[in-house]
Amino acid sequence: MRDYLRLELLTKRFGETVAVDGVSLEVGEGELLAVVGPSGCGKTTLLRLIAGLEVPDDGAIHLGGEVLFSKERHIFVPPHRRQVGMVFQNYALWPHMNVFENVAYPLKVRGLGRGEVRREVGKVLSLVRLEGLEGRHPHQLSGGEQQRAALARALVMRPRVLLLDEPLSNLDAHLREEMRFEIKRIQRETGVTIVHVTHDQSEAMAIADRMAVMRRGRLVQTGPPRELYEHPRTEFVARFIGVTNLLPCQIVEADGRKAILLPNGAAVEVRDLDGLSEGTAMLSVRPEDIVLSRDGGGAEGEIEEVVYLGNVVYYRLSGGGVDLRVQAAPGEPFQAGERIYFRIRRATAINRRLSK
Amino acid sequence: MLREGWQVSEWARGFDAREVVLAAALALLLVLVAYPASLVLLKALPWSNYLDLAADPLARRALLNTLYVGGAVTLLATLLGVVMAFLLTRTDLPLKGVLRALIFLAFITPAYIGAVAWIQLLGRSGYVTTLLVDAFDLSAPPIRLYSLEGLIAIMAIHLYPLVFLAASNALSITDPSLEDAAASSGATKLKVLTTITLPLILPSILSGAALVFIQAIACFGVAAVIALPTGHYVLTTRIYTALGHYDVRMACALSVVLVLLAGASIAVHNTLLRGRRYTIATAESRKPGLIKLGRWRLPIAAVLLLFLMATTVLPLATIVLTSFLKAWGLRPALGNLTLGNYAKMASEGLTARAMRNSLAFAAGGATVAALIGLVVSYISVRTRMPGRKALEFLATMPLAIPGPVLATAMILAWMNPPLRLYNTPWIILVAYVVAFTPYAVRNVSGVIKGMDPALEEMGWMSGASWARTMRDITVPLIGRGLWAGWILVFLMAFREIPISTMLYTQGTETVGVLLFALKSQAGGMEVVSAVAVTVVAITLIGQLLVEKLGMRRAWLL
Repeated sequence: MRDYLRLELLTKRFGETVAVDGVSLEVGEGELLAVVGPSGCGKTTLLRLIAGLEVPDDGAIHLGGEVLFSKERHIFVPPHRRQVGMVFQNYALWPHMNVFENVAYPLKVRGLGRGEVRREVGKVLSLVRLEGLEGRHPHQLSGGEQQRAALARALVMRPRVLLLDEPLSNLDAHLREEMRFEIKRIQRETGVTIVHVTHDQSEAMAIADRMAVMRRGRLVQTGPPRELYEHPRTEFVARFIGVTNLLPCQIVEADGRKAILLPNGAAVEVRDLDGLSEGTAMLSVRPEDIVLSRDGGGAEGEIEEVVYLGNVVYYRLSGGGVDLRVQAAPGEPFQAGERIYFRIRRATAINRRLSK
Repeated sequence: MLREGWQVSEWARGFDAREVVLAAALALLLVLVAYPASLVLLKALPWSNYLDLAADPLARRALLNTLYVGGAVTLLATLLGVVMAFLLTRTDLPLKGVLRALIFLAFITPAYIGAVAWIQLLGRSGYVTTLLVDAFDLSAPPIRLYSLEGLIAIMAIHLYPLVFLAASNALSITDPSLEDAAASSGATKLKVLTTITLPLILPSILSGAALVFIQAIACFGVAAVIALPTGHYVLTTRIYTALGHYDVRMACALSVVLVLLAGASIAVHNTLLRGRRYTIATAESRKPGLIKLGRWRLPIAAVLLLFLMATTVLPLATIVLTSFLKAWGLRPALGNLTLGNYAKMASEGLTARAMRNSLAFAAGGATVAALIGLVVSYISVRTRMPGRKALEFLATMPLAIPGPVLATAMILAWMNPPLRLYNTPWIILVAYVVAFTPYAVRNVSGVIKGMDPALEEMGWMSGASWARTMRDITVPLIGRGLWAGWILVFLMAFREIPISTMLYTQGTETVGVLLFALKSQAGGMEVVSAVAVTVVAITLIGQLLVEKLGMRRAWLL
C-alpha cells in the first residue's frame, strides 16, 4: 500500500519565498522515507506541513484514508487531532516533567487510566531501552538518552506516522552511528511509518527504505538509496548523494565497444555505459569506478594528491583535461606526481544532453 | 496562523480558541486604552486650544520648564551613569560590590521619597539647614531646594542608574577584541576609548538617556513638592492644577503635548535598541582587561563612595531617623525616639486603610496586568495572527502616557453612566491595569522569547489542544517569569502617586495619596516617614524575591 501517506502538489510560501513548491509524494505503510537536501531546501517545512504545525497554501495531505488537509475542500486538521508523532532536532523534552511524565503526557491527554498509562509507558521505555530512568529530569540525561526519551514520547501514542526532524544531528559521531541502527530496529519492531528529514545523505542512505531529494522547495528525485546512487537523474542528485566526477563527454562506439572522449580528446573505454549510445552527454563517474594502473591501458594521467584513510585511499588525478577524484583500495599505493593510466568501469549519463 | 478567506466554521476544530482570546483581549484594550485616550484627544482637538495654550503664560512656562528639567536631568544622569559604568566595568576600582549595591539602592528608592528626605535635610527647617543657619548665623536657608534646580538634582540622582545599567550592560557584552584590535593598531588608551568603545556603546547610552528623559518629563510627585511651592510649573503639575480648576480643555491640550514628547523619546529608545545588536561578544571571547587607575585608584573610589553615601544612604537614613522621632524637628536624642509612628501607621484609620487599599489595588492591578501581558506577549511573539500588531500597540501605548494624563483620561472615560467608575475604587484599579500592563508585556514577552517554540508544538503533537498545552506546558514553563513580572508591577503600583492622587475619594486613599497629602502638614512628617520606610522595605523585599525567582535583577521604572 504505497499511498498510506500521500502529499498532493503541496505548496507553502513564507512571504516571497516558496519553501515547499508543489511537492507530490507517497509513502507506504511501514516504510521509512528519508527526505534529504541542503539546508534551506524546504525539507523541514515539508515535515511541519505533515505535522500540521504550518498551514499549506495549496495542495492536499492524506493519511491512512483520512484527509488531513485539502485546500480545495477547506479541510485542515489541527496538529493535536492528527495522531502524528514527532521528534525535534533538540528533542523538546519538557524540562518541568521527568521522563515518565514526558512520555505519559500523550496518553494522559487522551484520558487513559492510570494503570494503562503505566503499562504503555513501561512498554515503550523498554522498546527504546530507557528502563530505570523514569524519575530523571531531561537535564539529568545524556544526549543519547534524551533522544530515546523523545522517541518514546512520540511512539507511546502509536502514531500513524512518525516524523523525525534531524534527530541525530546533535549527537556525536559514534552515538549517531548507533542511533541509526536503533531507529531501524524500532521501525522493524513497531512497523511504524517514518518520515525522516536530514541534511546528511550518508545517514539517509544508511536507514532509508526510500529517499526523496529536495532542492529549493521542489522534489528532485525519489527512489531507493541504491537507485539514487547509481542512477542520479540530475547533476544535483549526483553531487549530493555521495561523491562523483561529472564529465562532459562524447560517446563513441568502435567494434562493439563503447568509449568516451574526454575533453582533451583522449579516449577511455567504459565497460558499462548505462545503456547510452553515441552522442554528447554529462556523465557521472563515481570515484570507485575509476581504475588506476601503471601498465598502460586507458588514458594517461598524473597523481596530484594522495589522501590515505586506512581502509581506502583517495587520489586526485589530472588527466584527459579534467580533474578526477579516485577511490582505491590501499593495496596499490601510488605516489603524488606519478604518471599512471586509468580506465572507467561504469558511468551514468545525467539526464541532460550537452548541445555542442 | 490561520489566514483570511477561510470560513471559521471549517477551522473550528481546536485552534479557534486563540482567535477568541485575541478578540477578547483586543476588545478589552479598546475599552480600557483606546477609548479613554481618544476622549483626551477629542477634547484637545480643536486647533484653537493650542492658540489659547500658546497665549497662556503659565502653560508656556510649564512647557519650557518641562523641556529644561527633562534636558538637564537627562544630561546630568547620562554623565553620571556613563562615568560610573565605565569605572565599575573597565577599571581596577576597589569596592565595586559596595558601589554597585549603593547604585541599586539609589534606583529602588522612589524619587518622591528621596524628595521628602531632602526636604527634611535641606528644607526651611531641615536638619542640615538648621545646622548651617545656627553655625554661621545666617538669615536665610543657604540652599534653595524649592526650585527647578532642586527638582533637577533630585531627579538626576534617582535616574542615572538607568543609564548606568544600559552602559554597563553594553560595556560588558562588547567584544573586547574590537578594542584590542585598535590598541594593536597603535591607538592610545584614550584614543581607543573615544574612537572604538564609546561609539560601540553609544546606542545603549542614548537609549538609556531616552528612558531618563521620559521619566523626567513624566515626573509628578517630586515636581509638586519641590518646584510647585515656589510657583514653578511643569506640564504634569500644570495638568494637575488645570484639572483642579475644572479646565478640562487645558488639561487635555497639555496632555497631548506631554504624550507627544514622551512618545517621541520612546520611539528614539526603541529605534536605538534595535540597532545595537552588532557589538555582542561571543561566549568564547575573554573578559576585557581592566584599566589600571594607579595612584588615582583610591581617591576616585573615595569620591564615588562619598557621592553615593550622600545621595542614597544619607536621605534614607534621614527618613528612617524621622520615622522614629516623636515629632519632626526634635533633636535626634535617645529620649526623643519612639515606635509610635509605626504603631500609628498600622492602627490609625486613614493610614491603615491606605496601606490596605494600596495592597489590594496593586495586587489586583498586577494580576490583571500579568494576565493581559501573558495573552498579548504570547500572541505577538508566537503567532502571525492578523490583529496582533494592533493588540501590541494598544497594550504598550500607555508607556507614553504620564500618570496625570492617564488619570485625566480615566476621569473623562468613567465619569458618566452607564459605567460610572469615578468615585469608586474600580477607577484606580482600572487605571493601574492600563498604566502597568506595558511593563508586564515587556517582562513576559522576554520570557516567552526565551522559550523554545518546539516545547509547545510538541504539546500539540502529543494531542493536547492549544488551551491544554497553554495550561500544561507554556504557563508552567514561564511561571517564574510571570511571577517576576507580577512582583514588578505590584511594586510600581504600590508606590505610585499621581494616578491615585487624582482619582481617589473618601475611603479609597492609597499610600501614594498619603505620602503626597501629608508631606506638608506639620506633625505629619514622622508618619509619612514611617510609611516611606515601609514602602522602601517592601520594594527591597520584592526585588530580592524577583532575584530568587532566578530572574536578572530587575530595575523598576
